[in-house]
Formats: sequence, structure tokens, C-alpha cells
Amino acid sequence: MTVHNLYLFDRNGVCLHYSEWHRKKQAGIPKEEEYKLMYGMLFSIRSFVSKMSPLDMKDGFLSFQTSRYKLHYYETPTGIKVVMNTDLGVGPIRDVLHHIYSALYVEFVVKNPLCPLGQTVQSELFRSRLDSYVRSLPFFSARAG
Amino acid sequence: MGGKCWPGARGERWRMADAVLFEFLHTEMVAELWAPDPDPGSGGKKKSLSVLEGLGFRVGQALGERLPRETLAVREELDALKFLCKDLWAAMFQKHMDGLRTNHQGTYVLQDNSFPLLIPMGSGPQYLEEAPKFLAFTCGLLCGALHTLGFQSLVTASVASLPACKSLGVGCLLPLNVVQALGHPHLWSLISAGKGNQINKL
Repeated sequence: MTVHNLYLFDRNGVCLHYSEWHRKKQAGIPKEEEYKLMYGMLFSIRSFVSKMSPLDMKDGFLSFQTSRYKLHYYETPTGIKVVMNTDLGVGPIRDVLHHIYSALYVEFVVKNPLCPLGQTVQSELFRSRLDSYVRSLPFFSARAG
Repeated sequence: MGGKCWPGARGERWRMADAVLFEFLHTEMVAELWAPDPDPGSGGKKKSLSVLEGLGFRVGQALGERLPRETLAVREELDALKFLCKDLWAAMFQKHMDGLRTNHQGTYVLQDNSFPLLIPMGSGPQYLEEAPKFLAFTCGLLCGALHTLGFQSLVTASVASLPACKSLGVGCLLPLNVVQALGHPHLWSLISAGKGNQINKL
């Protein structure tokens, strides 16, 4: 099992933070373009999923998987979106994504008076704590298929 | 962190609902006072620091009156300093100060290794230059509390590495009436005379 990468978007589609760990293949386009494509895809799929659902949805779109990776999605009431790509062996990680938001983003970005909200996160403390946390996860491993 | 919202029959103290309320309010006070000054020659930064210290002083005066109701009268310098390190710090930051040292000549160093208002900024040099403006209110707070307890003081803060507030140097504590008799030039000379001496752990 492994973690590939992680995106953090705000409600306006600004990519607040991007990290990668075991990403073997790049998209071949500038990072800014990649962020726009990712956000656009998430926006569309979220809208589509809620419209097509035959039942009332509680949490909405949570994840999708392809033949090679799984995308996990978590959205806060304020529109912050945490997106993590892992391999297929990783189960639901809603609690992990919630922890990244509540214990890392809120504590070290929202509460940091020198971090302007709505802009790319510059805090080294946030970056290092996020990296440490992801590396400590039981499913973080370099043995990617 | 949460607690009773009002004093009950058993005399529970008022408690802040959540420490983060104060943290956010403090952040906005600093941001407002550090907004870009249209007149760069007006000594804006020094003025902002003194305004923050003044706000802290007034809050410190009130807390000095409010908190020690159950304790005996504070007559000794050391009792006043212990009150700051324990009672005042607990009321403001839900923790105690990590260290208190003195040179036994009126200079005290109060140390907090994880000062709550600096914790979100990190542990490296990234925001070190910005730290002083987040300490001004607390310097005033200590000064105001001491004033209420009858001690005149000069409080300065320094940060060597975040989030430790390396020293809140409380200079030359004297009973208030003595200081007023001496006047400020003596106060300054007493403080500078005390600076070079060895500071010992209490």
C-alpha cells in the first residue's frame, strides 16, 4: 500500500498545497494546469454524483478508483477540499483527511496570523508536519504496484 | 478547555469558552495595528507596539484585580512573580510558565518554551523577525498586573527560536511608591546595573 500525492484546494479552486511522495509518472503539463484540471474534474464529478444519486446523500462523493490508483476526497463545510491519491489497497481514509484538515491546516495555517488565507500555504511548519503525518500512516509505503 | 459559563452556587470561576477566541482576537488586533501606514515617517511600528502594550497593560490591571481574590496580599516580589507565572498565565493561556530566574537584584527572567501565540508560526527561523509584535500585548499584560499588585516594572520580551519566548525580562521590581520617589532616570540606571549580573534559577 502506498500514498502517491495530496492536493489541498479552497472553495474557489485555488490549490493551497500540493505534496507528492511516491509518484512515478508526472502529468506532463505545468503544475498550475494540473491543479485546474484536478479541481475541475472534482467539481464536475461531485455535481454529477449528487444529481444522479437515487437516494438522499449524506456525505456525497467520497472516492473513485481506476485500475491503478484510488482518489480519496474530503470536503469541509467551508469548502476546503482534501484530495489524496493512494494505491488500490487503501480502504476508506475519511478520518485521515479530516485530521489533515482539522489538526494540521486549521492549527498551522488558519491559526497562523502570518499565513494569508486563500493563498498557497508558505508555512514550513505546516509542510513538515503534514509530511511527518503522512509518512507515519500505516499505509504509507514505497512498495507501490 | 470549555467549562462553566457563569459562576455557580459553589463559586466556580468564569472560564473562557475556548482559548482560540483570544488567539484570533489578538491576531486581529496585531493585524489592524500593523496595517500599512500611509505616512511612513510617523513612527508607525513603534507607535503600534506601544498601543498594543497599552491595551495589554489595561487588561493586566483588570486581571491583577480579578484573579488574586482568594490569595493573600502579595507583598514580596517573588510572590508577585509566582502569581504571574502560575495564576495569570493559567488564566490567559491554560498553562504555567516554564521557568523563572533572577539575579536577586530586581531583574527576573520568565521563560515559556511554547508560548501559545507563537506556536502556529513554527519552530524555525521563518517568522522570527515577525515575532516581537505578537509579544507586545503580553508584555503590557505583565506590566499591568504588576502595577495593580503595587510593583513598577519594565517588561521586555525576546525570542531566540520559535515558539519559545526565551525571556520576558521583568526589570527592577520595586514597590510602587519607592519608584515614584526615585523617578525614571534612576529606574533605568537600576535596570541597566542589574543586567550584567549572573541570573540564577530560583
